[in-house]
Amino acid sequence: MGSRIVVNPVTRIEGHAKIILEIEDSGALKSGHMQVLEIRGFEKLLQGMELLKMPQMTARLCGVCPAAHHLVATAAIEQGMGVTPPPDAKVLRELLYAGHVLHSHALSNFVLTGPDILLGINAAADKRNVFNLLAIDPELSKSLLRIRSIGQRTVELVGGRGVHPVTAVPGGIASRPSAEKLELMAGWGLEATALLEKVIEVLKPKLDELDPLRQATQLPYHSLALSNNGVVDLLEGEWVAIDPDGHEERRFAGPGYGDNLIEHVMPGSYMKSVQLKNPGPKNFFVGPLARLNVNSKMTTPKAQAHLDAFRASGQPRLSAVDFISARLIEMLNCAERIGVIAGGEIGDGPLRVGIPAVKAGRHVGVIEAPRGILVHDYTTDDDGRIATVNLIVATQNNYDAIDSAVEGLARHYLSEGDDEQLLNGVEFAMRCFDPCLACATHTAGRMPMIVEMRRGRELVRTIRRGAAS
Amino acid sequence: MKARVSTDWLSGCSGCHVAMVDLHEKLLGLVEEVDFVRVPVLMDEKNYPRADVGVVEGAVRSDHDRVALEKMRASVDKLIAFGSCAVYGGPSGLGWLHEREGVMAAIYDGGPTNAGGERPDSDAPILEDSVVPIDEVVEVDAYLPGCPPHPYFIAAGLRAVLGVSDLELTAMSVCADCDRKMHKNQGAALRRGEVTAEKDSLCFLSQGVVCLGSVTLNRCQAPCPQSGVACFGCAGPSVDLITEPHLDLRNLIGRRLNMLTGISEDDVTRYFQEDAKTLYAYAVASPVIHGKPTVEMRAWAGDKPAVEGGT
Ligand code: SF4
Ligand code: SF4
Ligand code: SF4
Repeated sequence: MGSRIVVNPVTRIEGHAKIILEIEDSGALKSGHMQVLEIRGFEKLLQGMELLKMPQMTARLCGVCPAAHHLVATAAIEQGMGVTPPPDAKVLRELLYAGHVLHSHALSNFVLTGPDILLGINAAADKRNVFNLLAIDPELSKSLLRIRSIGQRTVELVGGRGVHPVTAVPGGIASRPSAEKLELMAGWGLEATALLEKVIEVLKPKLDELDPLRQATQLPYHSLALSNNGVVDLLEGEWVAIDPDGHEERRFAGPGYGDNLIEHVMPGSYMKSVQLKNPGPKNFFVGPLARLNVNSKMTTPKAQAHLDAFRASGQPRLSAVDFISARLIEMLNCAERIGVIAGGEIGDGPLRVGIPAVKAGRHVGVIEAPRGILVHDYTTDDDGRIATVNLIVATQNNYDAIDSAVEGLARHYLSEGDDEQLLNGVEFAMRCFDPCLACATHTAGRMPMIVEMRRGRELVRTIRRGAAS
Repeated sequence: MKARVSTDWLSGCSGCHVAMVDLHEKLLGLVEEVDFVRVPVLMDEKNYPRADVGVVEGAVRSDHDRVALEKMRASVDKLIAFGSCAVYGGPSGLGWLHEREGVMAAIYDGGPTNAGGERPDSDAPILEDSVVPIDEVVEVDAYLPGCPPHPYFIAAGLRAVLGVSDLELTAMSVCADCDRKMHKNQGAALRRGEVTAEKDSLCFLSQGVVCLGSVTLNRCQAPCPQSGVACFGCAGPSVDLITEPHLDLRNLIGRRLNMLTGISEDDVTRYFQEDAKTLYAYAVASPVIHGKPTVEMRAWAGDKPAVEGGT
């Protein structure tokens, strides 16, 4: 028998969750587990809808990474129809997406996890937030927020809207930004690149200080990511898994995921976990770190230099804390690409190709969401409406890894006997993955913070921030 | 004393909260004007401290949502239903059409990767039988639809509720901010399912593409038609549809399409009924829509028996 600690709600992540720690009689940690408390059920909600409206509709799966759903839905329909969008449409989508990933990573690293990194995990709970960061270091905070704004505004100029962009359509893109807008974005790309180089310098020593936590959250797991011939490409590539020693374990094309992955329900939770199968089950993680473990090349020089340095200090990197560094490198890549694309990669060719009438069939899209591999798989009926939907989202793919990191940090902090640190330590473990539960359960939500300590099924103690339970 | 603002999120996508951060530099201005005492995405405050204004995103799907909403209501003087999910159910509200077990089966059974037959155990919060907008659970003082509302309207709405400005929130439809011209274009065919059209300066309706701009409240500044995509009504119904129960989108759009192109009104009405789930997506769970005498939403798009009075 043991006891159980619950953290509810977990704050500063995107969604509703709580954390359960199972404790042995000896006081040692038996297991750590995140529970996801909400479900909307988009698999059902989308049934019967018009296929061609999926890019706009599925954006609503998640307000933090709507552009990922918007683009993977478009890619799925194009895959099913055998349609290739024209070059200008492709590069405009890449621009939209570079803006999006910049925004999403900035939100995670700066706004959500930033207070932990910059103010310290031990800072008082009521101080560890972006408002206080603004009060303490307005200049740095404003650079951080500016980087996110540049990303999100790029999405708005190319996608029509910041949250829930709309312009990607099967066969291409609905409109081309004006010359003035492109010029503006080209300038933003350079500005964000320069800001990021400075921010990386400031954050580096802070991240080095997290070394004990890095050691406590090592994940002996496979890395799974898309690879475009060894280049990090968020929108195109084959699935590649490498094992914890860095050897390629498998490689397959997009629609083959059903032969390689298996989903299971987890205790007390609406979110399903995913493992590799055939052979399996094997645990893996996805996301920025997996992408940089699987691939060694990036499309821009500054990001490449950082990636080379990152990979030089041991490969593959397997700690949850390394996700933060990986995100910084990808952000630099996005900022550089925004400058280059808006600065002159968009021509005046056609924006759309015609598409055939929608028939019964299967449509599978796979891209890298900011948090990792994302799959939309639709089957349609004869009238072109959605018959069934399968969605596998990044945070689900990381479920086992999140639990493992939560366990790692819980073990680390339990020995110190300070509830407040324990609470934030396990929350921090989750935040490293930037778990987006809106997506993950095709829900959303409030982040809980109860840690429940349980002995078997019996609730022994609840630690809730602020109030007694 | 600065006004105190507290926010929460129920069954939604967190996009409304991100839209608040999308005030960009103006957010910093707002931070100087008001005290955010609880914002779950940004702060570690887990309780419901006393506040002047509560801002709630998302619909009510589980007992967990209901309890959170009641706590929020009890802790604030004024409550804003923030975004289409809170106001009308929004995309989350599509669950109103379906039996709970059907939703669970679609998630956990079948498909290429599900182990199948598994369900979350009783430790997970209990999903309620249906999904409802927040004003079916607590009293709401102000409504700010939009999916999400444009940051301009978020700032304006907050200021109005706080009494810092008496700025009128416009009661216009999306067309008010759209530059496309509604011209007659006899002979254009009805283009079901499509969201783009050939000409950038001409109204989508004139080109046979169903655009919901004229039947949708403007809380967005018309970004979609302005960037080449027909409006799909994410901010919910326009004021005339809200106040006049006998009016419905399908008839209004049918009449306009017929006037502009000659497309038969019946074809349009049939399209709206056959594809009701797509075309009414953002407000199906609201009595404003399913309570209309001419609308049979569950018969058109659901698998639940229609019940007198709604949920
Ligand atoms: S209204 Fe739209 S943006 Fe807001 S929570 Fe609902 S789906 Fe998300
Ligand atoms: S119906 Fe659509 S395209 Fe036409 S004016 Fe209104 S918003 Fe613009
Ligand atoms: S134009 Fe229509 S679909 Fe686009 S944001 Fe506005 S209400 Fe929503």
